[in-house]
Amino acid sequence: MEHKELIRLFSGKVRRIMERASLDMAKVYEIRLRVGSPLLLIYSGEEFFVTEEGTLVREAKTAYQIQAEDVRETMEYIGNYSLYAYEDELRQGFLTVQGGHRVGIAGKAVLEDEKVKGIRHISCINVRVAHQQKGCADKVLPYLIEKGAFCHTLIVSAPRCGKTTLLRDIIRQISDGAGDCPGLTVGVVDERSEIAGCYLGVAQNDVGIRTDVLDCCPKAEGMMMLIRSMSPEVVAVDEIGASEDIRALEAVINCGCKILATVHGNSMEDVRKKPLLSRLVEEHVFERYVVLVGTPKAGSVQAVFDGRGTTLYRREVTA
Amino acid sequence: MIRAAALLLVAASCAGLGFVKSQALSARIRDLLILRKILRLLTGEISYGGTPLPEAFYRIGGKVGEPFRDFLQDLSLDMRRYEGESFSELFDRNADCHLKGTRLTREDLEEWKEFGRMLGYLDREMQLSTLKSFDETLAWKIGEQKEGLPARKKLYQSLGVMGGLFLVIVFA
Repeated sequence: MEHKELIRLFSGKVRRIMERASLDMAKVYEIRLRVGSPLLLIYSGEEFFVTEEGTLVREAKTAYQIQAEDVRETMEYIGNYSLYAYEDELRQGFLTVQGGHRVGIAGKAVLEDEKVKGIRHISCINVRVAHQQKGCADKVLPYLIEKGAFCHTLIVSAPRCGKTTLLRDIIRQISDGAGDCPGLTVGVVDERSEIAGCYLGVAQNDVGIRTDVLDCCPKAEGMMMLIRSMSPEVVAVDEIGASEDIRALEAVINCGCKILATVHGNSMEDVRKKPLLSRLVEEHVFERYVVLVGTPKAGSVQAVFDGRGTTLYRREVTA
Repeated sequence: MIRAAALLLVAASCAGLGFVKSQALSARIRDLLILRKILRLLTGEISYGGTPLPEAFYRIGGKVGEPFRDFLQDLSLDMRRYEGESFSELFDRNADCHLKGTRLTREDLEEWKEFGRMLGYLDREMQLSTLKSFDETLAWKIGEQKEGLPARKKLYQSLGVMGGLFLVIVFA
């Protein structure tokens, strides 16, 4: 789905406003609809409200106020008139639409046995527009390949610093083949449809020609399923942390597969402080660590270390 | 001579009318059975894969004949246009457009549209119970229609022939 087609998913009124605004969709990052609140965009990294005439303004009062009908109609389109088909995703508060765009929703949670069964009376929608950045791993990839073989790699990054974007591009490049490294079969466990952005099981982002994606599957279970069924050479997962994830990682490594994973953290110190991960660090299980930071822009590589902590790359900070 | 030919034509027409009417009884059952087939396929699509309605309708459309195929596939395409109509409006419009020519009665069509208004609403469990409930309604209707069908078919055919003979006697 082209970005322009993303606009078709909005209610007639909102769609017309967005069309009048003639936006450069490559610069649109988020579109937020909240009942009774102004239509809001994150455009070129800045927050704007949109008037009924399609003008981007800073003043909330002059902007178009979202009606309950807008949200209802938008949800009908986003859910293909079949919200039941997205029950599992909705339980987590989001669904992925064609094009890999993430639609987050909020409303009244429906509970069953103290667990969230679904969401009703949806009143807030946040569309996060997918922007695949091909080539963002170019700089870091040579450090992750040693003697033509891919190394067990852990990407360390705080939220919104671009770890999933980097992970996706590494997956694409090692799958297609990059530099000395021939194309590898990559198995991706995409628990939240963030990496491949699957829609009806088909990856909407380019994740490479030798990549198999297990969409919306719990990481630990998914890793074992991939090992049993798809014979991957590399298993890629996003945001590891739970004890079952770590156990599954060890099983994957014991099977002779390489690991490419991400974890939340600001530095290597943060990783060492995580009780479950620290053991893997001490045992030098990972051969490469890539630390990302959000400045000067999301996805900036701060440093690359090898398994023993030796610095292979460090970004020079200019005063 | 012409009079005899006209009387013969009247008798044949009446007998033919009775025959057509008797055939319509079977045709309605056939159409109701197609609706049941659609329901079963839809149940499979929803319960196994949680397939969204537009995709399920298009796929099922490929497994049934005209005019049900056109109904399902056009409905599926309309649903992907996102032109501001609700699902029940799209369902009603396509049912009126494509299913008017079937042997389904006005009451059958109204019930079918009512069923359409319930689809897509709430969770998967709700879809399956809606499908099951309408399937039971159809099963009951078909059972009722089948009961005494040969006798009713014979009745229509006999009435056609007898009516024709009656008119021949009256005009002779």
